[in-house]
Amino acid sequence: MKQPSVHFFTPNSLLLKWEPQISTAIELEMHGFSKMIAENCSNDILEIVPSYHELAVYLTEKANIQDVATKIKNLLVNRNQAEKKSLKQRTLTIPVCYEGDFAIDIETVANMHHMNPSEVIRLHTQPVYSVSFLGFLPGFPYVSGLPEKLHTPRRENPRTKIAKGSVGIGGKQTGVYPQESPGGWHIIGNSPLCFFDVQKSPAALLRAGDKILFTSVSIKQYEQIATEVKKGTYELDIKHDD
Amino acid sequence: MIEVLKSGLYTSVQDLGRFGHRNEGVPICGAMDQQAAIRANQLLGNNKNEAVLEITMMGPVLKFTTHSVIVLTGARFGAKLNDAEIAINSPIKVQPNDVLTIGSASGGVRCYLAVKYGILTERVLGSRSWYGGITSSTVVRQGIVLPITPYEGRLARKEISEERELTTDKKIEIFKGPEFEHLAPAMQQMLLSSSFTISPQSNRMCYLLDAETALTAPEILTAPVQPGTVQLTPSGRLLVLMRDAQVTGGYARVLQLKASAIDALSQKRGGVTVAFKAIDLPVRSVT
Repeated sequence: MKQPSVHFFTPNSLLLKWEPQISTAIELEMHGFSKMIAENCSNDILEIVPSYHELAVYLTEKANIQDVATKIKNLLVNRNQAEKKSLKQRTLTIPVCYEGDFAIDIETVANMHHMNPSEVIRLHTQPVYSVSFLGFLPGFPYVSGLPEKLHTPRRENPRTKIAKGSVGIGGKQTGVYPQESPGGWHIIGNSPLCFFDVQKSPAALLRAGDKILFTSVSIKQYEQIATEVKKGTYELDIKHDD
Repeated sequence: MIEVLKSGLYTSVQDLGRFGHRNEGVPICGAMDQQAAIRANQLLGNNKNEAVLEITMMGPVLKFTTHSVIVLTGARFGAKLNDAEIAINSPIKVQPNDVLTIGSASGGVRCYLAVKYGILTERVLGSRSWYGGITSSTVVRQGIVLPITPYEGRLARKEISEERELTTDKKIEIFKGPEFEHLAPAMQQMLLSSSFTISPQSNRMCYLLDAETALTAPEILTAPVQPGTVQLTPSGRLLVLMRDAQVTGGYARVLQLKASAIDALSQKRGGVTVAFKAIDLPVRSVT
């Protein structure tokens, strides 16, 4: 993999650029490198924001950007394989109800791909997805790994209101709306989990680098989980990799 | 306390922003004209990050239930404390039952009302700046109450000598953005030499600029953006991201406003014409 290049974004922010592509290898390296920068330049860093192939490094008011850029460049050059740190990965199982009013577009998606709604559910719950980064809305995950058979163009007319927890498909992407919002994706289900809660730390349920699985639940199970989530008694299925 | 008797057009509580949560998709928010918000706090001897009321175009009517000292900064609005007109940038004492009536902007877009020790609404994820889905309120509504600390002391700690006038300069200072070099030379020239009209739909998230040009750029793989990032859409619209902007975006980032240019733009109204003036970043690339 090519080394990322380091660019000035503003007088107090830097952009590290990898090759412009959606690639798990780039994302893994970026997340590991993000951690390394945070540890090595902690006094100068305000926050670090990942995306598919670019890492934005926002600096404190007092930081000398030239010095930080040089330091980051040296970190890039001098690191050896042993120092490559990657985030400890987690695998979360996300319950989704693909039925009734939760799945307003599942028939449309199924028809577009000449399959039954049950086939859409089977395909959507099959892969291990990865969270590339969060953006668009607080807690909104950009999820990679949607099976090609489910790639579906966005709706021609975006909806002004999409319910909180909606699971949608837009182009090659799938994801969950953490709050009510306008949106152009096809909605195939809804998850009873809370994906963003300012009372929690971190507030977002998911983070860049997470692996997720969607599992199909009935309306009855959905209601049961929603009640437990509300009470704070729901036990989320999270597996930590070694 | 401050009781809201009338809400005004778009009034919200803002400090200098919410940091440390952009990797969770949380926008920075904060005062649109940061220099004006900082100045308001300085005039009262507050910390510069205390929360102030950001008032847009048409102001609210507010009743104080405690003693305090207040000040207005930013755009000029007609404002009266009870029946007496009050001046901008001049701290003034208020007492229980005083009514502050803020009229409409006579120039610019936004003014800032600071009170001694700041407005003490909830702090969420390290900031009091209002944003839907993060704080419980998005805009001030009639009947709500804003908590403040009573203060009966002296007017102000110090005078601020320099007077900042809202700039009428139509030039917006910018750096070249990450995708600027992807534009053909003729397109670059067009971007830097054309005049653009601010759309009336502009808001805290984004200023829309329109022009009769052939500007266009393909979408990019979603990448980081920040306040001041100027995106060019395939259909030729320029979107200048402001304080409530999302943290990543999929349009070409052709320009980036200098920090003070974001403040200046936030005081320009729909229908006003602007143009860009390129300035250099220290270095373009270090590898």
